[in-house]
Amino acid sequence: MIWLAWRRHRFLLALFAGLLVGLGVWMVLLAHAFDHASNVCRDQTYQCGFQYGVFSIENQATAINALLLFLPCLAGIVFGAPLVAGELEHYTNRLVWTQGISRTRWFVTKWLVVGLILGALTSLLVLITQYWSGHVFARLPLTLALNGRIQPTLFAVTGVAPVAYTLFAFSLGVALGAILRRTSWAVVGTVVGYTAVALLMVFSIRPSLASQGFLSTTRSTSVQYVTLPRPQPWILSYGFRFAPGTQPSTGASSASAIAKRCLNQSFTGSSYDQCLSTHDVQGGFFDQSATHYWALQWRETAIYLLSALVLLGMALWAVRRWRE
Amino acid sequence: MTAALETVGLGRRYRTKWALRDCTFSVPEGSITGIVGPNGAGKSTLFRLAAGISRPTSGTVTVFGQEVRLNSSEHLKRLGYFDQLRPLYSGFRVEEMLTLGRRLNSTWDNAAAREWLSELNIPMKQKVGHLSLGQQAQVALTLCMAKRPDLLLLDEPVASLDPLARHELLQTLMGTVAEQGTTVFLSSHFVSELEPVCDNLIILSSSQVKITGTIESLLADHRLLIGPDGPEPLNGVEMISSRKTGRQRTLLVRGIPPSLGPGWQDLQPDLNEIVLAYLARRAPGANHKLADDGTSDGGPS
Repeated sequence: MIWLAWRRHRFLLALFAGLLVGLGVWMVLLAHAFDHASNVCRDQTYQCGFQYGVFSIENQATAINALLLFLPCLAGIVFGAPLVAGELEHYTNRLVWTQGISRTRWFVTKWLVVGLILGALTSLLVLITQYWSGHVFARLPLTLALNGRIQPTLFAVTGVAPVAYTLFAFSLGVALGAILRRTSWAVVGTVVGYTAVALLMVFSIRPSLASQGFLSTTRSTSVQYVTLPRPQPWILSYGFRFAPGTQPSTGASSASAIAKRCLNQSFTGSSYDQCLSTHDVQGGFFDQSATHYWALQWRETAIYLLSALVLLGMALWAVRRWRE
Repeated sequence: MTAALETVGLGRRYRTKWALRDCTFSVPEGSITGIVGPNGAGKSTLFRLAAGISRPTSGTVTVFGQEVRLNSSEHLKRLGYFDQLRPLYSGFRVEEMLTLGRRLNSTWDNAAAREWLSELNIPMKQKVGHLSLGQQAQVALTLCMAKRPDLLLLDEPVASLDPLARHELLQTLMGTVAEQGTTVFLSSHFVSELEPVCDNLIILSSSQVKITGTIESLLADHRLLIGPDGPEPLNGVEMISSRKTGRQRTLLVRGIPPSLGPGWQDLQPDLNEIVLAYLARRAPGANHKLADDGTSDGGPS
């Protein structure tokens, strides 16, 4: 059965591997180009940047990052959706299910062979991505945002999580294909489902996977500013909290409710600040520290892998009860 | 004698339509049993139920005394299943299809498989998708036979083949089967294809079994009566069909009429006439036409 799973999917797997190799070569070349430019332009002037194509490197880096973000979904579409549905559509399930092996063995072997190869390919790509992002993103002199692997766009393409994303997207495609029995519907479902889960993860789940930090702002004349630690944390939102070690003086009111009341009472900066400090309320940014990177990576990986297992179970259930 | 294949009250419903209903028969071990019926009679549904890729809505189907279940691989070892659609991986070479069979079956006679295919001049290196329909059918049949099954289920094995390919395929089949005593259950639209190779015949129409029996007993039990239009001589026999042509009436009956009125002739019908009579016969009380019953033979999938 391992032979059949490999024979059936080897062409697309080779194509996918070729795509990843191309992407890897591009990343390595880009990292070298950037090394060269940044060695020459130590003064980090814009003119030098122009001359050595730093802007072009930056644009290409953004494009690569976008491609990397889409890769797990692509694996789900290309390998996941047709894994079962493609056989049902061509009636080849009737051929393989009437040989000598059970549907369960057929399905699990297929899933394992394709899933393990996809996982291995993604792992290799992540290694190249780490090298590349270390050379390009960490040292880009002109980039203001996107500093550090804790930022969502780099977080999703480095570490261990990308492997889990790929296996999840693959399992999602498999399960949808097995349940809907149409490759085309499974493709649409995979794109919509994977994107929805990824967005939900970034906006609702990942911010609370580790304890949040707080960077209180300080005021200088009329401008509020905050000093960001190095490496930069992931800024989640602007909000209020009670200063550490203080008891809320007004019972049930929350810090943000007090801040709102303070704002209603006075519009001038200094009296507003005074109002806040009499209530021991601080304004500032909630954040995830860059030191939480691995904790977040492993927790997110666990969530995605568990979801992939649940989807695998659902697909197996659909395969076992499918009747013509 | 034990039954290689046995169904009891077997039925399969697709939403509201019964593709097969209350089907009870048995295929004796070592026999070659044919099933004949029009498109949509439920033949393919019956084969899929026996092969375990479909599950009955009612009743049971057993293979060598073992109930067929969706996920058991037990019955598969003794079964060679030829699907009506002849699904093969079109991107595989012929020899890769044999590798598939060898890898997925515990018993596999690779030498015999290669020999059959080379006798039929099917190139081992050719992609399956580039073969003719007849050659594809031969490859599919080879896959069924190389696992040395005790029961071959062949759903329309010769449909859409030219006469020569039909002949070749049936010959390959019957040659092997005779050597090994394999039980064969096969279907066709045409009784003329089944008659030369089968011991038993099952007539299926409108999702129901009309009659089963050995070909000899079917021939011995039925008479063709031709006589003047008027009262029909139906004492002691069951009328299967009655047809009026001009001033003559032609009856096909089951049983031997003891006496016939003046002007009546008693003839021996051929198998085709018997089958057509049963297919034209409507079930008592049935109010549907033969043409639009149930699902197509391809079946809803």
